[in-house]
Amino acid sequence: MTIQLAELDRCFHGIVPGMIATCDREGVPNISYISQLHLIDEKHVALSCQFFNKTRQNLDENPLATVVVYDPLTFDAFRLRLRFLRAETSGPLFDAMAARIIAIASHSGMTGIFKLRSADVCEVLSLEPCRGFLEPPPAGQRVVVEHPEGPLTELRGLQMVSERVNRACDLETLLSSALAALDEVFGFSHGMILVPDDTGQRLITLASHGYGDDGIGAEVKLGEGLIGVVAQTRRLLRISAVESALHYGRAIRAEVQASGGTLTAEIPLSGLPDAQSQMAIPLIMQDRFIGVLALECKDTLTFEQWHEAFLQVLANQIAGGIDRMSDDDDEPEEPEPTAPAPETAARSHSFLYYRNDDCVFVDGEYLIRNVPGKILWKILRAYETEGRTEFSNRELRLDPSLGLPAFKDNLESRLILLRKRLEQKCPDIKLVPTKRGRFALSVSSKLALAERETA
Amino acid sequence: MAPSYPPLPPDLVEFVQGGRSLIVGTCSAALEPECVRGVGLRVWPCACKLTLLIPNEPGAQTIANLRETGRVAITLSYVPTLKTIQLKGRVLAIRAGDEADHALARRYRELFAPELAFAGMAPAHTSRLAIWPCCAVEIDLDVVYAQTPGPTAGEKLPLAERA
Repeated sequence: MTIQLAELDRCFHGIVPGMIATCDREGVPNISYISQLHLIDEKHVALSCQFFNKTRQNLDENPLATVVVYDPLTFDAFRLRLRFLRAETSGPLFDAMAARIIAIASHSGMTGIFKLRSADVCEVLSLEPCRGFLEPPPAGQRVVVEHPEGPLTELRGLQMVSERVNRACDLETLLSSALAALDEVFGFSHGMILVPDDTGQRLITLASHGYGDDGIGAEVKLGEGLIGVVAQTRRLLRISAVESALHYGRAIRAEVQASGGTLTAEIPLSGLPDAQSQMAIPLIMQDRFIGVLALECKDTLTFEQWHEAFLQVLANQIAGGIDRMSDDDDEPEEPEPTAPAPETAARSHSFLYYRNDDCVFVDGEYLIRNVPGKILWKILRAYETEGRTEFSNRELRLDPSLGLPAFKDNLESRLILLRKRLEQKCPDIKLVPTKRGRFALSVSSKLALAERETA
Repeated sequence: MAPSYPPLPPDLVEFVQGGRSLIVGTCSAALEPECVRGVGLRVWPCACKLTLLIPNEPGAQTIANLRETGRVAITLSYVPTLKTIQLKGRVLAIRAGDEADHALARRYRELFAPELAFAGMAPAHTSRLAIWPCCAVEIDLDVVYAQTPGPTAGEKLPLAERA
């Protein structure tokens, strides 16, 4: 039976580390574990070179190598005979392999220390199972491995998710229905969609599924962790056996510390603290970065190679949807209703606005900042001084003090974030969409507003 | 034959005789590398010589290489911390495994299963690791390297003073 390299996808995740044997020109052998083996195509794989080690020195002297990888579900072993062809230090292959290491290094507090030196490309001369490696299973027992149902089934699933995304009439529905459908159809139980903030240096969680309400508004710095690296490199990233990868990173961290190296703090995972599989896909429209779709799971092997293609298709559709709904959605201006503000209950909230960074606190607790902070303050001031409760996207766009860009201002995203943050921190105050391009402020408590220059 | 290299210090003797992940590298005279899992390692009382157990069927090429070139590399790793060392040496003799070797291999497999479980491998699978029949390869130790992932991997480890 001939085995294809693609069939061994789950052996390449590093869950049970593989091994590589090389030898120098004098015939002195070397045996080492493999941290990452990257499948390029049916005839080529790439080894990751993080440190200029003996394996790499030997390959420069004698290009032959033998690798054994293990199936993490069955412990079956497969032997690959390789011939080293070249070391790539730039280009798409290098970038793809480097992104994974940058993400792990970032979580391990080793950005810039633990990094890819080269992607060492090898031709696969032969591939075979390691015969006799395992004893037969005991009589009456069979090794059962559940196989995914395969691309045809998943293609139908993709069609279903795609239809839901297409049917959404507003951005909030689009984001929530996309994440819910990914769970329902594919079982991806935890997902987030993040968009860049006004500075472009952070991403803010605009929609989440599986984390409760706490996920909305969570921030990730550009370049930090899996999501931050995907945003920075604009490259899809999939990490299986997250704990193993972090374990490897921590082992290096301990060695660096022991040898006197300076390190930064470890960065916790941004979503599930015990995530075992993560995948993050950049949302790109034309050449513009729209955000990141991030999925994670507690199972080690949730995301496989073929998931990348169809999630990329879906990500393109979400990016298009966000982009489309960020266009001007204003209705023609109508006279503002001057209905008096609703009666307020005995409860009260104190809002404090810091002018230097447009940051708003409610009852002493951080609520929101930047453009959404300015929007909230404008609305609350209008309510306090004029008793207004009806607002339009158009008037926000025309207000120069808010500083919205003239093109693709992401106003809808900012309003969703503001609405969600109010739901979490101050549910007495709501922003209620009334019709396309308009919303109402609903207040059921007394408000006290104050401003300061700085904290 | 007099010991050719200083002995392993006691902490490394203990380390290599536990249930460590044990992998073996060799090459043919034509410089074709080969690798296989070892199924047990015994340190001699002098701590300068070792007996390495290699299962016959998956290790057929390895055993052939050892007969041909006499050179071996052995890497042992403690999976929970990834503390790893590599031993290099030369073959003194190769013989069929005996009952004592079989017992050592069985013990090794029992100790190895919980260590590999740390990487997520079910002990039910690890317990199927083929250990018998095996060859016992007697090795004269040449050198020991640190190989824990990181910047110090590849450095020679200090060995004990010769008695």
